[in-house]
Amino acid sequence: MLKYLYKKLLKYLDYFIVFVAVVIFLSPEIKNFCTIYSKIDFDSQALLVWAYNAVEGKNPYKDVFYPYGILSYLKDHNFALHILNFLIFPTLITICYFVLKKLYDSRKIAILLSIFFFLFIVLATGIDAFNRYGILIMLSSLMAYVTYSNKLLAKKFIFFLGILGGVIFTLITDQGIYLFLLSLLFIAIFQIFSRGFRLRKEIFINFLFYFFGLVLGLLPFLAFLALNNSIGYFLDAIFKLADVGLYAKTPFFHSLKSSNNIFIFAILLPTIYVLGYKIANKTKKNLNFYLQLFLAISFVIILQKSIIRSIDNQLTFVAFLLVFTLMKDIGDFLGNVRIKYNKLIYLFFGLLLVLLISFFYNRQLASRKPLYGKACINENINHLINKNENYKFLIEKLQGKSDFRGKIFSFPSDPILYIVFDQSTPYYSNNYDSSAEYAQKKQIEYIEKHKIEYIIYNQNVGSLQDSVPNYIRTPKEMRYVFSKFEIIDEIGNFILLRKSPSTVDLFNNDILKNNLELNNYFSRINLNNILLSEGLYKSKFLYVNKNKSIFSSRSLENLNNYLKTNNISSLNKILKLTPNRYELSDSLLKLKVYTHEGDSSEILFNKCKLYDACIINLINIPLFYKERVIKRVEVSDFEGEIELISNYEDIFW
Amino acid sequence: MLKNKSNLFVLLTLGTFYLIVFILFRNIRALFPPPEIYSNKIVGYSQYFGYPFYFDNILFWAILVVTFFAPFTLKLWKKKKRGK
Repeated sequence: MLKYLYKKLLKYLDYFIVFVAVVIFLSPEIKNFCTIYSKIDFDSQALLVWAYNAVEGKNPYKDVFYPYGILSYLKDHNFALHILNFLIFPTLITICYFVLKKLYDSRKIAILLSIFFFLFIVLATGIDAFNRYGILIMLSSLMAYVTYSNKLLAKKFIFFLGILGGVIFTLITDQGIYLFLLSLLFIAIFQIFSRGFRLRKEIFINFLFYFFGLVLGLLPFLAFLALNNSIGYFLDAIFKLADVGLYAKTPFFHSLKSSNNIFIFAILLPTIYVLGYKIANKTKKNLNFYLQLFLAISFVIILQKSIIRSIDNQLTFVAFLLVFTLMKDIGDFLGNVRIKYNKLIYLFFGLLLVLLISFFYNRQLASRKPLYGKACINENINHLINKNENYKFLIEKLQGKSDFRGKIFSFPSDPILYIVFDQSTPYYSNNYDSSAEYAQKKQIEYIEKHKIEYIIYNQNVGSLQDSVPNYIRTPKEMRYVFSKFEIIDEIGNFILLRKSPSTVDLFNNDILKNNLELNNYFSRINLNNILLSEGLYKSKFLYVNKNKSIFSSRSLENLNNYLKTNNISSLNKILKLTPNRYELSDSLLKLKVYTHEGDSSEILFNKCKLYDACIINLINIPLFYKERVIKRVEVSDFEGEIELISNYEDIFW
Repeated sequence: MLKNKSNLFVLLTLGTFYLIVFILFRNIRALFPPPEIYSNKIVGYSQYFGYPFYFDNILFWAILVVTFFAPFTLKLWKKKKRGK
């Protein structure tokens, strides 16, 4: 037995050495369980609160919104997962070395390229990002090798792939989903390239073996969820992952200007072209072909995430890998014309590495320390709060209040305060993650269930992400906060609100009246494209069920006369504007609404197309967080029909 | 020689396609309707600024598909020529 193991070790000694070398390089980090954040911002607060929840033993699907999978949630709080996470990087680098050795058929070149790749990861991509996205990429490289080197797809391999898929889904959910898709494609591609396009029962058997392995791989996780009564919560969280895409989406092609994306597309598009060329011309299907094919497929799969919200700096390593394959093509071409290219390869990659690292150098900002559990959390709190006078002063003021019971709600996003007050956090730590209405309701339930008396509003954060104002992103939460809680104090950039026994009139608050910037924030609002979208898609719901038109006219003066002589409440009211002419070429319309008390709100929004409706649900306008009587409406540059509708449908934004 | 000229022609055509997409980007985007605010009432960047939600995905795939099939057009053209 020992002799057998010794022979195996000798055969695979170089892989063992690569693995151990990377482990040795990383070994100083193995004791560092704690990330110390250097500043308080959206990302560091979110990460710190998740760490706090993990230390408190909170379940990531049941108690806390956490979309990244169990591994990253628990890796710094569970020794076994910490070691597993630690071993991912050396494993992936070893796989990279294996594939490069097979590709270039040279140990020397493979070692050199692996070192280059390693340096690129450490200095540019970052080990954490590589651990996350590298799993899919390296597994796709292995699939390429298996496809190239086997006439028949071993059932053992497919079964193992299924188990691995289940395990990866458990630990890193989104990568598990990508791997599932890639595995199905792999089985299909293997079939096509080894047996042609004819459907054989073999492919179905392969799929069955894969699914059997997948179920087996998922069983421990399902058992864990069942024991914690969390299966329903987990499934709910998975289905709601799609909603994350809806609020996270930002333009993709605008970010193509970044050096990361330029590099990615400068390599991906030629690779796609080369693949098309090889398939069209039926060139020999060597390992390089399959590597390019599988890397391109897995890269395109992951890029769908980047298209939602750019993660370009985390994916450049894939382009770097593809460069190796393109260079192999060039090398083969030069070899065919009898040019020695080995030295060229060393020089090329050396220069490329220097160039790429100088472009993409990204030193990790957060440092790591050998602290564990609550000690890590406390170290971060002391470090961050002590550096920030605003937070210190706010905390002192709150703790000085005689009726303060040690619980607050932070809005839109200062969740570090939950840690300071050592309180159980809401499901969502900020209003970006609670963008959906069901999530906002959950936040409101938290406030009511915990009988929160004080809310802290950060007035410097008018829009938490992507320039979307809070009154747009979370109108329900915003309306609840500012109609049930009264502004009582202003402490630096924080506004302190206290629970009021009756509905609050935000616009009758002295602190708001004296704070010009905050006043403008609530009274001059920009609805941008919302009204156009509502009109385009929801006009058909305007007159259903109990909804009905109260008043309609082509003359604004007629409407205003009607409002003057009737006390029309803002509650359950929609204003519908259908233009038939615009005088000016501006893209924005300005609507001003006046109330009986003399307050007013200016609403800007994108013009609707002629004869298409713009729909404003008045309940989401901050002026109408409290029910008021509408006295007058003014609209700039508008000729058309204006209609007031009573609305009881919960469909409109 | 002919093969190299044909390959160059395909590459130039592909490059022209990318340039046209770049120049007409806003016009192509304007062809797509604004995103809808669904029953979950999510309003992020896309819904707020009216950026078509699937526009980037569709354009990305269009670019990929055209790039992949460009070499096939050369092959088809050569086949046609041989057929004549």
